Amino acid sequence: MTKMIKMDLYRFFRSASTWTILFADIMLAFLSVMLVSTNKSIQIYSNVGELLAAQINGGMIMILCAVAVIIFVSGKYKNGFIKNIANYLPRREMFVLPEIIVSFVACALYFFVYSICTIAAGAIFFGNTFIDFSFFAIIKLLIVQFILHWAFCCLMLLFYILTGSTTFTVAAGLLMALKILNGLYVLVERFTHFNVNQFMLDSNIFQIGMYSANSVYARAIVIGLIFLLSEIILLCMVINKKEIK
Amino acid sequence: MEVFVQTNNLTKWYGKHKVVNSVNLSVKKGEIYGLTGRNGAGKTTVLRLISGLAKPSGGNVCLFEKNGHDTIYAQNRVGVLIENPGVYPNMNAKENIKLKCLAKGISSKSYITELLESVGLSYADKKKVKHFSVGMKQRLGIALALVGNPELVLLDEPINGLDPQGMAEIREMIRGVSHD
Repeated sequence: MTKMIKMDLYRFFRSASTWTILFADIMLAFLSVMLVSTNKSIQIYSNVGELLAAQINGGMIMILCAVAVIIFVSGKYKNGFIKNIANYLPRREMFVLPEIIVSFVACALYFFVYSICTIAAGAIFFGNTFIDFSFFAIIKLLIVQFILHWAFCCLMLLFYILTGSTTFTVAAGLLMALKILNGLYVLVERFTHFNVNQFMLDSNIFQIGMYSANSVYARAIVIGLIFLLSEIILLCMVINKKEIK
Repeated sequence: MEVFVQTNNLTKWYGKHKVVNSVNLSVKKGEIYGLTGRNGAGKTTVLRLISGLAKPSGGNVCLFEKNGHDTIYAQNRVGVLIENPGVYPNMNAKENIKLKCLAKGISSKSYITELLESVGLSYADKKKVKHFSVGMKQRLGIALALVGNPELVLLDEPINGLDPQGMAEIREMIRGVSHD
């Protein structure tokens, strides 16, 4: 199992796509803050914490994390390398655990680099006074958002393993990250009078702000962990039933 | 002599199609066993069932005289090259083999070089696999199947795409591996 994790991490850090996405991650963080700073007519954010929360709510980092995970996993299955190692693990479920760990590493890398770059860009484009923020509040925001983003990456992993289609998985990821599914949630709420928005992964990512109530944070953590756990269980079940091609 | 592979009424259905119908075969240690048949006869499926890539609909596979749940652990002693070689095109030959070595827990760098030499690919160890010819990919696939000196090697059309000299070399290599 640890050998498989080592193998997957070796491939992740050797892959050109890892570094290309990281470059895009850094560029996006700086460019989006620069664009915000050029709009001098309205002062939208009072500190970097608000800016960071808004940038994460924007969904760009969701897309980057999802793309990285999809590229990584589809490589293993599409090229057929999985056939070479399929008989090394006594249980099929053990295949997905290294992938979940790589998705954690990928998500952590892109999410925290994006956050650090956003803070740095905030200091550069808005001045040093802008970075006067509550350290605890930012850490709380980042931890909760990271759990939600990791759960989102695992959802993409599940979609890919389930369908075997990169196109479907990317499309599903984009629908979620571009807030298009929110329209569907509104429709569901209209017909059923049940606020499904509160219980969806993507909606929680978009709703959390610097000054959100503790109850919103608590709900987001619970939703993130429930999604993570169910995705891991489903991934294990699906991989166990699937034949390796 | 130890029986490495034994199948008993091995059967596989894909939907309403029976692709493997009660196959019984037995391969002893040191033997080279060949499966021949028309396209679509189910040769690859039999290999996939033996290697654990697919689950049988009926019958069973015994590996190294172990059956049932113990087969799962015995499969660790099997090297496979089934259908197209499963390789990462954006990595070079050395990196592809290193990945499998990592999965097997082999850390020796010279091992990779020796393995590539044995399949006649030492000259292209740093070339990206996407620039390989079909025959070179096939050689790399064989090298991957041989990582960790497996006791049983399952090769599906191993000389596909090889030139006549390559075919002779690979056949000779298989004989050599079988003797070892």
